[in-house]
Amino acid sequence: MSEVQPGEAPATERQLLLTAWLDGELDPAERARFERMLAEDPELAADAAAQKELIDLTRSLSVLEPTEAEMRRFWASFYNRTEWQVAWILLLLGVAGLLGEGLYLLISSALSWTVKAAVLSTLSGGALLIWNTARLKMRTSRFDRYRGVMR
Amino acid sequence: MSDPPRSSRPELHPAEEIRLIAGAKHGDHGSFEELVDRYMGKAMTVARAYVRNREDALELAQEAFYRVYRSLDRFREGEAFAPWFYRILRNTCLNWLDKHKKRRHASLDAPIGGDPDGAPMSHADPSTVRPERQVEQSEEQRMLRAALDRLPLIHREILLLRHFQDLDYASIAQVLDIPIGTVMSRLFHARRKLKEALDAYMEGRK
Repeated sequence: MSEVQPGEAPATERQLLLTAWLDGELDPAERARFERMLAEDPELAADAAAQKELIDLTRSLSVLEPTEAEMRRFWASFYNRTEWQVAWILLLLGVAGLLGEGLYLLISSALSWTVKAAVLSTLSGGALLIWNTARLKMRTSRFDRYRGVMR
Repeated sequence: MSDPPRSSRPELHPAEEIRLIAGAKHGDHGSFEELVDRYMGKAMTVARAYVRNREDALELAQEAFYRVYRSLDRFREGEAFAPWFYRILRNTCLNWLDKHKKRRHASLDAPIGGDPDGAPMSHADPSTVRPERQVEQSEEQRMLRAALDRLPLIHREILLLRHFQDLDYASIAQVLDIPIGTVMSRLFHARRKLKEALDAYMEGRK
């Protein structure tokens, strides 16, 4: 995005120097040169004083703080969430192993192809439903601001 | 909400911060919890600049800490934590705005730093502040928040990172992924806009 909005003049070198001086970002030589300019130019000195006042004012902005209860809820969900992810990974690995072995046994068994197809269809339908529900839950609960509210 | 806010945490000494990060990287939960404790208020205040309300800001700050926890092994010890953390927080907030299609409107209606929905803020101990000064401070905060509200998002975020988080130009450039020259000019324009918004108020104080 452009720094200069329509109708605005771009910053002059002097204005940029003033900005860097206020933020303590000039090296010693540049600072000494700029401070000589300040001493010789009352208009620049007045601008510097006004900007300094503005910076001091914005530094006084209050900090938001969570409540103790919010922090307790956060830590409870933080570790739950970590364990939940590890548990899901372990569960999925186990299910994948069992399904692979089960499918191999199913296909190599003497059961009729109708039964094999029915078992595969049931497993696929179940997996699809679980995936669909999990995805919906993940998308809706993450930023549900009322999820901690007792109903 | 009846639950009182926590009191503000003191600034972390850089050596203490390095020790906490090293501890967190090596799996010390206590170190990570201390780090979160010290940064949570600031993270919420920055997140508040992007989103519409305190609850979302809290949620996003928490989400950013979760991402930090998962990425700690990629953080290079010896580097500054704050720019790395605020970059993660900013990306979390921008993703949230994209997902909620609010990025376009964020500059118009996202109040920051304040608490329009009645949520707690940290303040100076009321018992040590004279009542008339409390009124002045509260009026100052209200005016400041209203002025900041009127700024575009790119100006709000840079003002918060510089004035409120006290990041230097190199760190801001790292967080916002812009050159240092752009940091300087963006700060200049942001301050000029804020000054215009506050001019009437500043005149009244003299």
